[in-house]
Amino acid sequence: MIIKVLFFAQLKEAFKASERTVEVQQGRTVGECVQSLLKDPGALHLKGLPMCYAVNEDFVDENWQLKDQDSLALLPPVAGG
Amino acid sequence: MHITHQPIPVEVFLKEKPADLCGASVYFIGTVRNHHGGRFVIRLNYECYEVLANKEIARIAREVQEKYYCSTVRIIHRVGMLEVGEIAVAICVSAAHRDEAFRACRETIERIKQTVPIWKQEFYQDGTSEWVLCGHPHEICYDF
Repeated sequence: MIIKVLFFAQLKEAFKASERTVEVQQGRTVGECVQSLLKDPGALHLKGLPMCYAVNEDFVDENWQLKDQDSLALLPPVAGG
Repeated sequence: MHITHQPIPVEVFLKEKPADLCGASVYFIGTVRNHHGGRFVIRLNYECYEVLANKEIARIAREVQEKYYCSTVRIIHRVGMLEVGEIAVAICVSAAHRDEAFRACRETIERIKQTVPIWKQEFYQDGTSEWVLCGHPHEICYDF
C-alpha cells in the first residue's frame, strides 16, 4: 500500500523534503514504518529524538495500523509560543 | 483560524469588547527576544503543521474556556520568519473575575508551548541556527 509521510523542522532538513510517498506492507504500524524510514542515511543523527505521530490530521500512537493512502506526519518536539 | 502568516494585528485584538458578564480580560503577547541560552538570537523561523495546529489550538481554547468558565479565549499564533521584537503569539482571555482570567491565560500559553505542532528555529548572530526542543504534542513519545 502507498502512504504519504510528512516531515517538519529538523526532519524536513534530514530528509530534504517536506513529504515523501512510500510503499509499505499491508498491516504495518506507524512505529514499524518510522523505524524503516529512519534507516535513511540522512536521518541517522535523529536516532533518540522523541517523536509523536499524526495520521490523517489526528494524533495517534506508534501501534496505530496504517491503511492505504494514509497521511502520516512525524512530529518532533514542539516549541510554539 | 488561529494560525497566521501575517503580522498579528494586536490593536484590533485589543479593541474587541468583552461580553457584559466579564469583569476581567487578560492579554498575553509573546514577542521574539534577542537571546536564548546565552546566545544572541537575530531572528526566528516558526514552522507548523497548520491543519493540526489549528485543531489543537481550538481544543485548548475550548477546554480552557470550560475549565475556568471564561466567556472568551482567543488565540493567534504567527508562523514564518520573525525578527526580534515582533509578536509571535497573542492571547486574550475574558472571564467574570480576574483570578479565573489570569489562571486561564497562563494555562493557555503553557499548553500551546507543550502540545501545538509548531516548531521554532533560532538564528544566531554567529551565523548558526538550531531547532529549539520544548514539549511534545502527546503524552507518550517514542524513541527510536
